[in-house]
Amino acid sequence: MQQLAQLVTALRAIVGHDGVIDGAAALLTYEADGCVMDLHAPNLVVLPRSSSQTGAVVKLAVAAGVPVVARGAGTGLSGGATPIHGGIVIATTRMDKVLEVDTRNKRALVQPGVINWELSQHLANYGYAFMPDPSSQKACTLGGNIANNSGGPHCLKYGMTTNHVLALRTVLPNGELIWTGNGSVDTVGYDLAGVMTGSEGMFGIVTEAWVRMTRLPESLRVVLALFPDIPSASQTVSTIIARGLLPAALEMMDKLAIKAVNGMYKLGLPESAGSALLIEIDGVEEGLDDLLRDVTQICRDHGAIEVRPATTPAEQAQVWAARKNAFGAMGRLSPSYYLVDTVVPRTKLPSILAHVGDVSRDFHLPIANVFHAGDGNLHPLILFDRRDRAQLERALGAATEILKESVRLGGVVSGEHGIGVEKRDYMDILFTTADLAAMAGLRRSFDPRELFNPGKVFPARKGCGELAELRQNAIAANEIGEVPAGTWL
Amino acid sequence: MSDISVLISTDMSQCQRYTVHGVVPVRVAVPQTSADVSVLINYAAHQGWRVVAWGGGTHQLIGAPPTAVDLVVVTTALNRVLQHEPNDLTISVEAGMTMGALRTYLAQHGQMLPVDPALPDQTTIGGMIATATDGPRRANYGILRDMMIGIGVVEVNGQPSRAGGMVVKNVSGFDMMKLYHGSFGTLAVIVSANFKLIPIPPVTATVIATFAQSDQALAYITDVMESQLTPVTCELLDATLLQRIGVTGEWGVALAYEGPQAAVDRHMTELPQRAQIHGGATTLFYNETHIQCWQTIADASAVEHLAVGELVLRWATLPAFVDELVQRIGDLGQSLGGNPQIHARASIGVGYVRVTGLDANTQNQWFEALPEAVWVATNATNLDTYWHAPVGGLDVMLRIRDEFDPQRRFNPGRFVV
Ligand SMILES: Cc1cc2nc3c(=O)[nH]c(=O)nc-3n(C[C@H](O)[C@H](O)[C@H](O)COP(=O)(O)OP(=O)(O)OC[C@H]3O[C@@H](n4cnc5c(N)ncnc54)[C@H](O)[C@@H]3O)c2cc1C
Repeated sequence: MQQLAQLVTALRAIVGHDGVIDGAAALLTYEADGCVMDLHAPNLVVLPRSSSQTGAVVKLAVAAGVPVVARGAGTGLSGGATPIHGGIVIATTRMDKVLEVDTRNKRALVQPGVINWELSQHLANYGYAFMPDPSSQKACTLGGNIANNSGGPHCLKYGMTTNHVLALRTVLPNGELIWTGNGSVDTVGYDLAGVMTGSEGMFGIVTEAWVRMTRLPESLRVVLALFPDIPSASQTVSTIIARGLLPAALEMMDKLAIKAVNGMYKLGLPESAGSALLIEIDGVEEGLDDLLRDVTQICRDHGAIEVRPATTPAEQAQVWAARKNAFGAMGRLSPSYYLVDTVVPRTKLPSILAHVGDVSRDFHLPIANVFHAGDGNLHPLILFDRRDRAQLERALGAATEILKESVRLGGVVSGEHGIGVEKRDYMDILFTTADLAAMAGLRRSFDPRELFNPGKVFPARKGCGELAELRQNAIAANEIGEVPAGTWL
Repeated sequence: MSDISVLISTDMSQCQRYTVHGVVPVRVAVPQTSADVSVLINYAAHQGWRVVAWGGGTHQLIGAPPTAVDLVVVTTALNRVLQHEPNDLTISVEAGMTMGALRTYLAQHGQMLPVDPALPDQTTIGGMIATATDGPRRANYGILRDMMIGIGVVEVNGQPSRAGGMVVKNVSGFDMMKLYHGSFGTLAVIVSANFKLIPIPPVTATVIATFAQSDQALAYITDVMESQLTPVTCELLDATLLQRIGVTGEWGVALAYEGPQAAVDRHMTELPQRAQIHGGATTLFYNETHIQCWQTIADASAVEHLAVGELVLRWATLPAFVDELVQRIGDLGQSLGGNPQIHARASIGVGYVRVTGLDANTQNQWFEALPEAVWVATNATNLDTYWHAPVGGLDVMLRIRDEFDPQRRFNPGRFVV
């Protein structure tokens, strides 16, 4: 206790009195992110304003041997920002400035607490955008996007966050503050910005970033196609991809989701429709209508009951708002939901969606689907009532079933929400011990004491430290010849 | 799995053929499968051998000479397509497959992996990953880094491991693909890689604009990049390279577009109009001449065979600084000699300069005068240094090396760490 009091005093000397939160009630706000399965309050929350303050805070924390967990907006869905071993949460709330917009070099310098949507709004003034656009973009931060390598509808054409990060300023777990590059596209040495993106706050705390700005397309077309059922829409997705039409976004909603957004956005979609596809294409004006005709034709060929163009920007915005706020609209259908993030090869969409239907029936829980169909990235939303223990158990069981089936179909366990605590015990369904051990080796290169966001990504029963040690022993043994050839981990 | 003794050769002429930047290896092995690679590397670990992986041998002159080479592992027999899902637009290939072979294979399915290296018929996928090879279309599509969705490697003790998968979007675990990409063979031997593909666009065409001054050419590039046109390449060419593609002029800008006919037409009309504003004259290429022109430009960065005294530098800077850098290279040509040839993927700030006829001392001076150099290729084995220091994070890079190759047996001495 006394040690904590001393730490608080030292931290306040760095970030000011109101930069440290230590009241029990206030700390509860930080006990979870958007995934409320595992809760744990931090001992302290610190709100630095700059890179150097963050560095100083980390130095104190590691000297005291206390875990450090970075937190953006807490919209993560895998428990990434949950301090499951307590310690200090470094919240980036006060580092929320766009520091520079450099149109000449198509890059912007941002602090990690900048909200994704605000950055894009800001860049739109210059005719540019930061392309990754998670559905949570009105709340989530750039730091969270980078740590999770977040995606969004437009990642189908433009790539994930990793394709839009040029250089990171980062506080490493030893308190060292580094820039991974100067914003040019190549650097000397290992690609630190590349491996840090998607490392879930376990390699360093991002305190500034040069991100790529993309010129807004000259024109776009948005259509909403309605289908009688799920198979016809998912076949349509597969055909559009296979034919190589490269839409900017290709999003899908099922009947339940249509019902929810209809209620909220007054879209007037026929509730007899079994599914809807939202398709956007973009580029120079010339050729777009030809492309639109091809896409529309594919929809019709697969039995679309209606294909509605959203012609005016206002209509387009309305359709997009419905998609991006679909999760919020679920509140109309159920007190709580469990959003499962998983990916399959795109041709496997019909099979996995059929499986999701079966799981819904077998577990007696409604499941809505709103997802990034073009990438094969599903988001089954399992609707249940958290207060009912039995329902909660069934929801977890249903999620496990869906994830296992995804892997069986050649998919993986997370497309964009990350592993965090939520999925850590699924990692060994997907990877061998050796695969995980290599990741553990990389993690240990950054953080040998495992103080940054401990307990994440690696299976609880085989943690990072154990894996890394296994691997080092194997390497050492082979090199001195104690292990017979061919015997590995 | 083959017997190790069958795989390894100590034949002198064979070893000489695989000379690594002036160092003749003690032995050479040509594994037939990735399991062979594991066995070999495990054996090498027991023996304490220093190992160099060799794909097409097209990038071996990059970086410093190795301190020693006990074993060269030639990957060219690992040349199979492991899995191709045409309708998913994904593929998994062995690392020894050449880009040319992959291109031909994919073309049969109307698909492509849009990276255009120099010498595609020799350059292997594994080599391209290890050396972060780029090509003209990087301006729009990026490099393999941006398309790689999975990887298979053999670690220093022979242990195979994988990361990623066969889906186009994946955050299950850390991005090991980025770790191995550009690691110059210092962490593991790459045995396979998975990529997302794109369909071959229906129509492609090229505009070559020529200018009297480099600053006119660069002003044109800035103009195009600030427009909403979306060319897939944007290269600044000097007179030598222009001549090689059959165009006369002092400075050239080569822009390609690929897509539907109507969009191609728009670009082929508007790009020349904009060039005119900046004082440029334009030539258009279609079909065969388009293809030839781009292979010539891609080949301009080849470093497989360098003459004595020849130095190639790849540089990276911010697009806004290309102008200054091009001027500086011109000035250095005056003061240090070397008759510099330049071409640049100017819209993204990456480029190459090739100088010839220089002694080691002058090569050192060239290298020092260009802190933007991200690598240097030469067959001089006595330069002061072959790498500039990383912008930041050298310590963590050293720790990565310690974790993956604690004894520094993979490409010893060749990389910055
Ligand atoms: C309704 C809803 C819709 C969503 N839609 C999408 C979607 O379409 N696509 C998608 O990819 N995700 C989506 N998400 C998930 C989530 O919004 C993203 O993962 C987002 O990037 C998290 O940002 P955040 O600021 O909330 O981060 P947090 O939740 O606060 O943190 C996420 C992770 O980032 C780490 N972190 C945060 N800041 C830093 C930093 N500065 N340095 C290092 N590590 C840091 C944390 O430790 C944690 O591991 C959605 C979530 C919700 C609730």
